[in-house]
Amino acid sequence: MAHFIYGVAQNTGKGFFTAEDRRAFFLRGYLADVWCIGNNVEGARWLAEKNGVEKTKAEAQALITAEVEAAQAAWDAESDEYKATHQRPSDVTLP
Amino acid sequence: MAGYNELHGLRVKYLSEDPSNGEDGQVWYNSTSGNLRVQGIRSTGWITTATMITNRNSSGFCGTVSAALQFGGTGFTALTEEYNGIGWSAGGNLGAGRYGLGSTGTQTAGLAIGGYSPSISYTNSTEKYDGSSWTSTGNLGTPNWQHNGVGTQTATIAYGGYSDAAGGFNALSETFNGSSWTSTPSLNTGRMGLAGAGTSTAALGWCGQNPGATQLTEAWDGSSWTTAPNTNEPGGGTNTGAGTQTAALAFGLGGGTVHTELYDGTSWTNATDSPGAIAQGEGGSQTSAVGTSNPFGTQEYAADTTTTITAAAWASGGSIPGSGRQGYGVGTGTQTASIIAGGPPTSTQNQFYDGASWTSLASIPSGVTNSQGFGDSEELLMAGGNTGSPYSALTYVYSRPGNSWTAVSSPGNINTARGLGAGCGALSTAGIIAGGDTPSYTTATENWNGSAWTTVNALPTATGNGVGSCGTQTAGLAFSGQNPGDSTAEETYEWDGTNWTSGGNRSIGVRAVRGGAGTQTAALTFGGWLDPGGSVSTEGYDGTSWSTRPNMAGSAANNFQTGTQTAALRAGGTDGPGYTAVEEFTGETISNNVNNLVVS
Repeated sequence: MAHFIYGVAQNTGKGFFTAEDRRAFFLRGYLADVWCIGNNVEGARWLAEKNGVEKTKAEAQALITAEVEAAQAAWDAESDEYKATHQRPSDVTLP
Repeated sequence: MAGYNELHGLRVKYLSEDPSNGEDGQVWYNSTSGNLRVQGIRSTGWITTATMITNRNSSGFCGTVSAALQFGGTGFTALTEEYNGIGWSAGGNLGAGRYGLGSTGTQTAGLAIGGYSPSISYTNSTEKYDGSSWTSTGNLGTPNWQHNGVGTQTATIAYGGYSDAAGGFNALSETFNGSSWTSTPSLNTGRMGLAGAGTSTAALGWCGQNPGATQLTEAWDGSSWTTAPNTNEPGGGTNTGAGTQTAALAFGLGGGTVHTELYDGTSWTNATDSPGAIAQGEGGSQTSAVGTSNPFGTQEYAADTTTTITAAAWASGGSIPGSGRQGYGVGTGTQTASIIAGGPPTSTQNQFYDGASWTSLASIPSGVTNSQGFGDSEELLMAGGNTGSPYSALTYVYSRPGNSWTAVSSPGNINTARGLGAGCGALSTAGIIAGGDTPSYTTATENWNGSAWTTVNALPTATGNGVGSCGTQTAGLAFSGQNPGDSTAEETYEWDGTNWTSGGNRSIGVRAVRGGAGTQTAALTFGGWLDPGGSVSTEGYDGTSWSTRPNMAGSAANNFQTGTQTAALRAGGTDGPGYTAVEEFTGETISNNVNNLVVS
């Protein structure tokens, strides 16, 4: 069984994920509202309750990569002064 | 109406304190508190606790849930970590990095047995840990990998495994007396990756693969291995266990799974799955164990317990409205009453969080980013930063009761214009700033008395680029700053009101932290930049050393950090899922599952 499921769900703020959720399953958020979720009953239920859309790992990765590349292009266009104190957005690889 | 003793044949005991290990439903009168008390139903299950400093699998693991030791593992690492029941801190490195090593003992008397790495191949190297460092001891008779060890540092048995020298999958069994290994009768079936429990004279080994996954169980009586009942599920890969020969706990059964089984000396029964996969662990008993895996972190198992542990965790908070905040400003206050001000490019934004949602406050008179400061839920001081170029020396104080800013005129200016430094102070009228970018990193420290800045004793090392900080004017903490010769940013400095001294290094070399929560002896920090990107890591400081806590859900560098070590707030930040994200941290609590009986 795969360790993770992947989905897109918009973070609605308070209550979107609770401390109980974090204790019950793995959860990691990424750009493009992509979430990497521990593959157990509680994790799958959470994604469904948040009206999330399940994605394949490749689909989720593509969404993130598109946002990262846009952010990198924006950083590249910034001044040297800005770059001195702001890191260039890094590539993200889903687990 | 029937009395309690008539219903249950027992009288209510009159005790001066709660019993340490009451039975389910037991009732007593606590004469000290004056309450009728009842022991709640005992609980069994897994909880998720802290993350490892360095994620890994196939590591060596020994100890207990409150004092565990983990060493080696994937990546052929030599890193050692020590667990105190709440988080992991760094221990001394193995002499030789490796993975798939056998292990046993305790946190202060551990044993690393064999293993493999490309540089040393299958090894017979054995090392002892004394609570701080590893030293070599007598070598295994045959180099071996993915074998299991049980017992103590001075009375161990290691069995099974795989190595070229042993012809691949093997049934080797060797005992260790604290200085040398002796060959003993072999397992009945050779296999690698098996788990075990017990002692050097009464051991149990189960599962493993040769080459397919097995359910085999064998018991060692001090002179030979005999076949015991199979586990319910096969377990190839690496397996994990705790307990004794007749009361064992198998978890992560099958190599990085959630499956758990219990053995009673006669048969195996399925138990509650762990929330996430487990790759290695230990515990000391069938009812108390701890395991880890990459990326699921640390999970603890407790059975039949009269206490309830509620593990620390992050939860989502109310999102910052609009496009959110990148951080790079000053945040002060508590988890339910925080002010966050400033940020890039040169923001006048100033907002308040009430524990659920954000409201806009009076704008900063002049847009500013990268400033340092301090304060509380009512007032915030921000000094320096960028209002353009070069760095500013201006000081602004915000008062929430009046919802107004005061631009402090000279001598309110700081003496060394800077940004991205530390700010320590629980009030806007009393604090210090230290380090930062001028743009070169500085050691300069300045004290604020409510109306003017005075240069005081400097930091030992120039540091900047987002120094983390918390604490007060007389008990401050600065950490995770970069300095010219070291970009990994583990250094911590403690301020006693007069001087800076070195504190314990951070376990994780995160930089661009920018904030901190709590006090000098009970601090928490989270996020930052850890090559190659934003970090989700969280660490706590106890006045001496840092140890890990559960990760945030989303990475964030340069975020606003407020609150305390057990009730902290992370708001906004860069290099994560978005600038609007907010998370709230709640520390671990342990409560006795005993309640007052009340008449309703």
